[in-house]
Amino acid sequence: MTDNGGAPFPNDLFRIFADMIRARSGIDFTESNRFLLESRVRHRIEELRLESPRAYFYRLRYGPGEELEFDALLDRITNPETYFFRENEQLAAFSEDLLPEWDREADPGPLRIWSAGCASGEEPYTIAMLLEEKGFFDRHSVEIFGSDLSSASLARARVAVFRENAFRQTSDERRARFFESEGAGRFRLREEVRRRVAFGRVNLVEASRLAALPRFHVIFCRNVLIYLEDRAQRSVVASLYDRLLPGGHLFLGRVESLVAFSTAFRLRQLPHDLAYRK
Amino acid sequence: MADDELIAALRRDSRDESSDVRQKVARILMERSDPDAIDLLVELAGDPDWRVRKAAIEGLEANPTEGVVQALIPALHDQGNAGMRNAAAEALRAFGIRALPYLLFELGRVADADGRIALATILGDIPAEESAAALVSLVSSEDVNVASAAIVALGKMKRPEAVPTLMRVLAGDNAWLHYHAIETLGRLRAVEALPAIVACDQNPALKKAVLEAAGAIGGFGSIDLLAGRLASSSIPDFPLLRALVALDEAPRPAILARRERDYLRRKFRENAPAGAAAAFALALKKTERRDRKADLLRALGWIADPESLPILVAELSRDSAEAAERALEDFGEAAGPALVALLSPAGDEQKVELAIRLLGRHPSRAMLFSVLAVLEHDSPPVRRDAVELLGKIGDSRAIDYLVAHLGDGDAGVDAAAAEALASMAKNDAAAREPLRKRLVRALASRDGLTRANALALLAGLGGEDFRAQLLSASRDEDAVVRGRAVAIAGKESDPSMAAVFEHALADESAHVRQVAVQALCVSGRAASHREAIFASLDDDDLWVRAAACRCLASLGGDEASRRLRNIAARGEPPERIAALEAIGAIGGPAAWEAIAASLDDADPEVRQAALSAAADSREFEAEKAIERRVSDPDWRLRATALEAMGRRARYDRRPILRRSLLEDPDDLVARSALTALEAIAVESDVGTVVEALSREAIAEDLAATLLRFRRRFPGAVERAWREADPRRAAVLSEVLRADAAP
Repeated sequence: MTDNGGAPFPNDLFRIFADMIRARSGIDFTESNRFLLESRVRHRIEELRLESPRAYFYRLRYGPGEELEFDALLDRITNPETYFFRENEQLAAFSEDLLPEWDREADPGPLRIWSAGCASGEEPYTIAMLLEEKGFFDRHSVEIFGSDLSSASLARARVAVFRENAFRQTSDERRARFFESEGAGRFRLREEVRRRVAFGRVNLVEASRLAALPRFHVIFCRNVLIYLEDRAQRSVVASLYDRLLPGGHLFLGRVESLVAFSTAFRLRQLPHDLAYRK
Repeated sequence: MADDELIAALRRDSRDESSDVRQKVARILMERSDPDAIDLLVELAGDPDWRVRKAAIEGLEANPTEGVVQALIPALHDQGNAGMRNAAAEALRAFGIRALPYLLFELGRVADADGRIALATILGDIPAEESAAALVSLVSSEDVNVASAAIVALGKMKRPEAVPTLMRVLAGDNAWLHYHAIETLGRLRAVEALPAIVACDQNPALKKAVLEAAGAIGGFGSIDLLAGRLASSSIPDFPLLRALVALDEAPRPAILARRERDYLRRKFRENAPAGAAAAFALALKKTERRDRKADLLRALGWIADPESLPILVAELSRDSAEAAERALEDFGEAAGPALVALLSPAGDEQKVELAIRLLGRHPSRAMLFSVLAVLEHDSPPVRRDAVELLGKIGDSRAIDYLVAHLGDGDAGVDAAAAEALASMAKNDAAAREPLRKRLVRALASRDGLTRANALALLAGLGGEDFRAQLLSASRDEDAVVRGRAVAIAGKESDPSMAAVFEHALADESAHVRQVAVQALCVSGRAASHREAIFASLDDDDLWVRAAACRCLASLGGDEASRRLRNIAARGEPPERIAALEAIGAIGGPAAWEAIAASLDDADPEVRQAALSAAADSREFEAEKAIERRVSDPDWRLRATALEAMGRRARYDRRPILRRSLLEDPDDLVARSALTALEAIAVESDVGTVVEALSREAIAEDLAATLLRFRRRFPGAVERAWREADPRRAAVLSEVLRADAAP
């Protein structure tokens, strides 16, 4: 019934959109996740009241405001699906195995942690909660930085109000300690944790811009590489290596591995899980 | 600095202690292609630091010359530097077919096993007839490591001519080679090898490989084999489950996949021993491995034991949600009540969304009120899915709720509500009058989007007041409503609509002006608003100007042609694209000149538009231009050229279309060749389409074409079925069967 309602999404346009997104963000769309890209593009077409996917492509290509529009599209195609305390073994490796090492080393500088591809903030806030539980903020200066490609996700992260599905791995005790209910199934993160995390928009495939970031002791980049095509994965892994301090640790998602991308990292078996070390 | 001084300085810096300096040297060398630079890059490709190696390889890849290939081949045999060997292999792989003659020459020259293994591995990444032939001959190598490397490389290449050689390996007595041959035959999906593969099952060390290969090969024979093992295997037998899941998820045309899935479910239920569901559920509880969880969930779905339903439903909000969704789909309609119970407005977003999607497979009026409840969910995707499900249920009691969501605020939900109501009006005559009354009330809504959507729906329902409502909407304060009114007015034949267009063409909103120009064009009223359309060519808004260009095609005439040619030469790209489309439609010798001038434009969209416009030209040069671009390096131009051939309906061009369908490296281009070929096919083209079924990425399109061919060329399709290999015959069998159904 809408102007573009039943219009088929031409195959060539799917490829053109996918190529454009791959070139600028590294995010890989193939036949297997084609539905996702098409549905998000269609949604954007409906929002803009355009007549067809091709008309939208021309807007993206020729403007006006094509840069802003591309960012708006990226906001819609990035996957914000995540939750607190995801992949507990890795978090235990960080909090139970690495933090005591940091306590012992007693470096006077701040401990810098980067959550790369943090979506709506669940991961960096989880890190902040773990540090709070360990009383780490009382003993050390800590900087936690959460980044994502999507400005919309970062805006949600800064507001720090979460729905039930963000708590699927969170104990009731932790929820009661760190969140307050706002009713209607929404929970607000307490200010003392929220203020521990700074957020910024970072496109991980823009290696030259990443060079402007400080070097970190720990980088979490979990379940991000799986969405990127090979070349972008290599570029991101090289950038992450550069942004780690010597001896720093990198945590990837459980299904991700550096085997095919880099021999620069050393795999370290911590008591609770594996991590990559520079 | 003189060139030789620069090279000397770079050579010195290439041995600097700092890897940053060495990396910089590689980056500088990337810009050069002289022999000194290449030698230095090859040297740096063996650097101990991986970043330097990476930069050197990128530099070599940027210079795909004969000299580079010749410099890299000796590096493959550098026994002292593994980094160098890997870097050389990576660069040669990237050169692909250009490196092939040198690699084959080297293969004939090198006698040591390591060198032959390295070459075989690279050849596997260069899928050409010559490399396949070289690998096939290496399979009979006396050195078992060389032979197995060749077999693995053949698997990567996916060339069917390797199958007889691999089957001969299975007839031999080397278990190590059997393993690799089985794995490769699985990758090649060699149905004809299934009995030979199964015969290897006597060796317990090969059991896993046999199961995996059977799963990869797929088809009814594999289902029989794998499901038959259920009764005698331990529960759960993870390799067996993995093979069955791989079989179920293998790409093939939907027409075949449906039947195979039904058969798999039936065979699984028949063969699973008593107590299997409980054993799978227990294993699911125990395992931490996500891949195993996913396979166990699929098994529970196939068995469809009511006791396992709560387990599957609980997994919908966990990491294995995708597998749980597939399992519940396999479980069938009996899962309905458990899924309806999940529909809560405050429920977990992912769980509710998946439940709605699954319920959509078997919509029923019994679920109406539960679905209505989730229209209040916070999540727009949940609301959109709920609205779509209401459309499928088609119960008129949902009308009020759906109308309320015409202005939901989320564009996806609004559009879905409009679609659902339109489908209800189409399928349920009794619902039309109550819906019309409700929509008339919605026209007074304070929300512009609700008014716009209500108006569009009323256009389909009519009514004596509709024209008055439309005229009123065309002066609405909201540009979205005015735009919608103008678009609808384009479909009305009443003379009173002329005033709507006059008003809209001068509207303050560019959106409304653009819609007005488009509507005039579509409705055939362009001639009566000729001056206004010409004036729109000078509109401030680029998109209004582009719409006006397209509209000139329906006006035609010298003035329109002249203006379009000017715009095609000097406008902004969107205007030029639109102008070329219109010029193509108008035609004539002057049109061809404008089109030809843009065929090599710097902007790829303009080039593509020009080529597409050439399809309508009768000029001899147009034919030549189209044919030349069938081999253009840009896939978009190749695809457009093939589509243009289809539109020109030249039967003598069918060999070109057939060749592109079978041989073009790009699946999208092959799909364009298929569309073009189907439009002008004769009986002898059926065989080409059947042969192309090996292109998995377009198998769905090929099957759809064969279904249509079944009506056009029934004898040829039946003959093809009799003569086809088992994999193609399975698809053709479904094509013949589907056509016989009422």
